[in-house]
Amino acid sequence: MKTRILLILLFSFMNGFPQVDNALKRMQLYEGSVYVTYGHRITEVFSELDYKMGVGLFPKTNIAFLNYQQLVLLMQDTAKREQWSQEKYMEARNRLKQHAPGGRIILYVERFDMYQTNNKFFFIIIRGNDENKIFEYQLPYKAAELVTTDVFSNWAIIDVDVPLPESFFIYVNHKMTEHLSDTKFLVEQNAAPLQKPTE
Amino acid sequence: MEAENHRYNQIIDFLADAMTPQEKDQFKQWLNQSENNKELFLRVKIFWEKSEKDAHPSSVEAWDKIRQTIKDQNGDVLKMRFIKLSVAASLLLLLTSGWLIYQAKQNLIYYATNENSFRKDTLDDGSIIYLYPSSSIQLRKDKNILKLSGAAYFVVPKNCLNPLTVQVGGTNIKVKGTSFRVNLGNQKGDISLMVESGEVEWIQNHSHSQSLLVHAGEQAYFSNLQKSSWKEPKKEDIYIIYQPKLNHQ
Repeated sequence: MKTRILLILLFSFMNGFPQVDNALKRMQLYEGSVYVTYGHRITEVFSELDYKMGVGLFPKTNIAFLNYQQLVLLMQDTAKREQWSQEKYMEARNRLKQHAPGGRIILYVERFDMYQTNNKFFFIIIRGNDENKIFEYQLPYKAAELVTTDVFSNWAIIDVDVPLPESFFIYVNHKMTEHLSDTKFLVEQNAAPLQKPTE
Repeated sequence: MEAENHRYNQIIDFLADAMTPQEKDQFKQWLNQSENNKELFLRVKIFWEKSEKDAHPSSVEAWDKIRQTIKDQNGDVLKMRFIKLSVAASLLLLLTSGWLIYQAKQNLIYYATNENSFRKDTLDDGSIIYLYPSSSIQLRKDKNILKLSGAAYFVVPKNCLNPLTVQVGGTNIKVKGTSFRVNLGNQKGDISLMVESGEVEWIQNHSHSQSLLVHAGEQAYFSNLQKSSWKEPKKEDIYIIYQPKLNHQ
């Protein structure tokens, strides 16, 4: 019952926002891979995930990022399309202001064990360029979905309730692994550096 | 015969005043010995005077001869000078050409990828280029002009010294403070351009009459066949721009 309530709350909160993009699901990342999500450049700095030799598959940990401004624009588009009342619009706007001033992370994972693919084993840490912790989030329970007979997937939308710098690191960790960190990403907002790097 | 030759030589030496006083006395004695000797002396004297006249031309002729000699010598000098100058000019040309080729090579950067590899490069001004598989770029560093074949993602800082010009499929993309992806799609020369941040001026012919300003979140296309372009909201939100060498496979 408790789980059902949590899921209902989660889906109602996500109403009007994009689901996981198929491109994010399809991507196979490796250490050093660079990709663009919603204009922001993301680099997979390292990953401790093991290649499953027998099946010829990699596990996946893929993230996308939307900043606060983009979330507001998306909300405005939805409000226009669905002809929201002023009250509903202000409520959504305040919710964003309160819960997502740092933007939103979309997480997609694929593993080979159904139990371990449950979201409850995953937690996220955001650190600045100086490696100081800015944000930490423990994902709630969410059962895995079946992709193929060997592969299970899961996804989550994480709103960051603190403002973030222009570039930062996202660590996606799993509680059951022996590694201190499992996957590290570098996120560079807006992709184009406006200042020339100091020499 | 030898005695006769010796006698001729004595007469010539006498006429040329090339005898010692003693030799002269002996010669005069020989001359007065017979009429035959005197006749021989006269014949040689006439011949000598004639020869001497031929051997000493007039001063005008002499000057002419001297002039001709000088002229010939000057001609040779000029000829030599011309050859020397030609060699020097050729060497200078060779050195200049070599220097220009060296400079051009120093200023020219060429990168290419095969069908299975990506490539990432950072230019001196901080611009980053992510080159897709089966693509190549040729960069003129001095003019900041980059010729692209295939596809690439560019991140260009706002305060780079010179705007970067990307030449692709006969069109020019002028950029500063932007990130965008450009793809010379197929053999027909159709191009797609997707801008992620900032804005891009896309000049599609040399007269600049056909240019398009593409903003962040827009995607523009150019049809080489129809020589026309259009833009629309970008369709792709998530895409890979660089994959490292895959050691696992």
